[in-house]
Amino acid sequence: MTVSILTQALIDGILIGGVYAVIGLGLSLAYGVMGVVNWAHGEVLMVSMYISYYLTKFAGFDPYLTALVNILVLGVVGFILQKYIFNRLINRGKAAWRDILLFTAGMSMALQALFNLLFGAEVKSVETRYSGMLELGNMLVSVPKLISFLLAALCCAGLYVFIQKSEMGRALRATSQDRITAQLMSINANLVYCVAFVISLGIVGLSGALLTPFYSVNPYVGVSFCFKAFIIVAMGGKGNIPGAMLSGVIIGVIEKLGGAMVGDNLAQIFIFVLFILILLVKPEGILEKRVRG
Amino acid sequence: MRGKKFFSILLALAMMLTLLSACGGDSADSGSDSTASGSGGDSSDTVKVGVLLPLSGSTAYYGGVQLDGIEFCVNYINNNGGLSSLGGKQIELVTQDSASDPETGVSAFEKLVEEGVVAVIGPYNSTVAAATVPLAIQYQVPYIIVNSTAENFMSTENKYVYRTNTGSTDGDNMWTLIIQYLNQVRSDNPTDKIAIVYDSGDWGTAAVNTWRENAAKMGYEVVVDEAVTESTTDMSTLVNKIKSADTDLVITACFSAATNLLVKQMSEYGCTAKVAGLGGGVGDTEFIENCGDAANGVLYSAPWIPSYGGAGDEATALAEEFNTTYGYEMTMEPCWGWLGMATIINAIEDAGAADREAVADALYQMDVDKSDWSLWFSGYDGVHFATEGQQNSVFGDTGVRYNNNDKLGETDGMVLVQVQDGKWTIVYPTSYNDGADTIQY
Repeated sequence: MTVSILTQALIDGILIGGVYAVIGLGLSLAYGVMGVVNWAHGEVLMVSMYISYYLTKFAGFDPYLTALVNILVLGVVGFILQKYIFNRLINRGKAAWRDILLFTAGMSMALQALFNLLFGAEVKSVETRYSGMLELGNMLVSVPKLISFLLAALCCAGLYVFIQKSEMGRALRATSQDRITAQLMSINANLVYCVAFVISLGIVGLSGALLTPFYSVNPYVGVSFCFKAFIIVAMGGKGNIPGAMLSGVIIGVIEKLGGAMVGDNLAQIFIFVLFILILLVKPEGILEKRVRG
Repeated sequence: MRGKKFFSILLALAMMLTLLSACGGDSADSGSDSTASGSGGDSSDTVKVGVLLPLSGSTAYYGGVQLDGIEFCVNYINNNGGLSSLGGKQIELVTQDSASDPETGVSAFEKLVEEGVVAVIGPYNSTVAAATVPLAIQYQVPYIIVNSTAENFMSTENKYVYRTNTGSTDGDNMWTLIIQYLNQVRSDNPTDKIAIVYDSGDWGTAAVNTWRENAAKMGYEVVVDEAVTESTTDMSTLVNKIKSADTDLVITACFSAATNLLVKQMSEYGCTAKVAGLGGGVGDTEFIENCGDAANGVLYSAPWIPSYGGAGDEATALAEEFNTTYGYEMTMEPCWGWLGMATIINAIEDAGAADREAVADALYQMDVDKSDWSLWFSGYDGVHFATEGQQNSVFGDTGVRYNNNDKLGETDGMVLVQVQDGKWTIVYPTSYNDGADTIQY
């Protein structure tokens, strides 16, 4: 085990962690604002990866430009789902989070089966113009991963500013704290929920495009990312953007450093051990202040 | 409070999903009115053969293409007069989905038994084979194992379970020959540092075991030894380990996603070690397309199939027909599907009855050579099962294995192929190239 392998692992961990972070952020936002979990998060990611794959491969799109299409398509899907299904479930009664969990669990299986039927189960990946390495001394930085990381960080920063500074961002925060009180302050909670879910799915659309230059897609690809996204939500604190970014990078770095020391497969154990520790010690998330009462 | 409740629901849901997937897997093809159990009743117009394959889940792709090969074989017989010893009866396939999962596989196998199939072919996954082989012996149903190259389930003495293709320990001879050949081609830089990258499931683990055991004998050192899975999302660290260890050859036994990732990331990080696949991902129709230029130079110790060249006239014509029917070139899985299915058909013909015991006895006595139609798409010398005490059996040479095919031939029906200019080309045995060394190594 040399220092150079560990340094290289650190670089790779930070870069891939940025992408994990954005995937987790989408889940975190919907959970943070609405208190509901989208179990089909990974499958939505899979759908966006298929869109990016086909646009890049057969329509000659730049893989990163496909993000715009993804965001548009998934944003519309998110709006329709939220307006016509989730909002109805939420307004109907108390256990909406359970209904939505079950609904999206079904959706996740249906999407896997549908995409298997439509596009086959084989693994697909595409060569893009983004390849190659930047050499820093004897370290290598993968260009597509660096671009993906930077776009991911930009997305997180932009979203953070949006939520902290804009009127809609304030409405989002207010609704997440107390929906009834927010409504009393003349905030349209249904609209806020729609915005939250559209952003949530839009971010997943972006993630799909970020993964395309270096990752392959098949109908079951969502599962491995979905678990990491859940851990990011628990670690970062629900709806906490810096927390999600930090958790993503931590998971990336643990995965890569662990991989360098004991192998990628065993390194997954470290991530879950950390997850359990955080659930036990700081269940509100690493960056959240503990609220008593 | 709410958080706790939430996580308990989440856990309950996860458990429910597992149960659901275990219950699923009803097949579209099983729309038959006869549900009588027993041994394939002679009264109907068809002879039912069960197919157990992963049609959903992580290995759905392989199960799907293997099913194509099996169907293709059945259609060939049905369109050419059916089973001659049974007065031209047609074969009817009853398909069940194992969902790539042993538990689902067990209930799917039991459904096939209840359907009254005369034999079962499958199940692609070694893990599913390990779970279902005991059932075949218990219910006394002939079971032709296709793919599923792990050896752990081939150690029970019985007359029902047979495997037509090679097992994971069969590639040894071939690889001893290949390593010798590589050292002869590159006497300036012998292949003495090997990295092993394998899928953590049964097949991957079993496939690379002998690579560790044979290190001393074959004169190399294992410098990297790592398990990966289909859900591994990044291999940069692994690639860097391979690179900094100055590896000559990377032996992989991984499925599609992992193989693509490894090959692409090795090329990205400028890792010049050659990759040699033992099967799985390298055998995919889309492997070269997915990896693009990074695929060039990749080696694959492949079971011979007609598309590599040297096939007979019937096989060439049929492979062409397969291509037009299914829209892709016949890869290893459909070819092995054909061999397994054809062996079942041969056994039913020999038995002259759609009866489980008679078919099992016929399989036990099976002895066909290379010219038989069942071997049109395989490179083996014949089909004959090695069973203790049986005449002509070489049982005992390769450890305790019951009913494995012992007519595999010197190279175990394999060739070494390499991606050259975006196409698979045979590079060993050199007899395919009139003795010329065409390998890029």
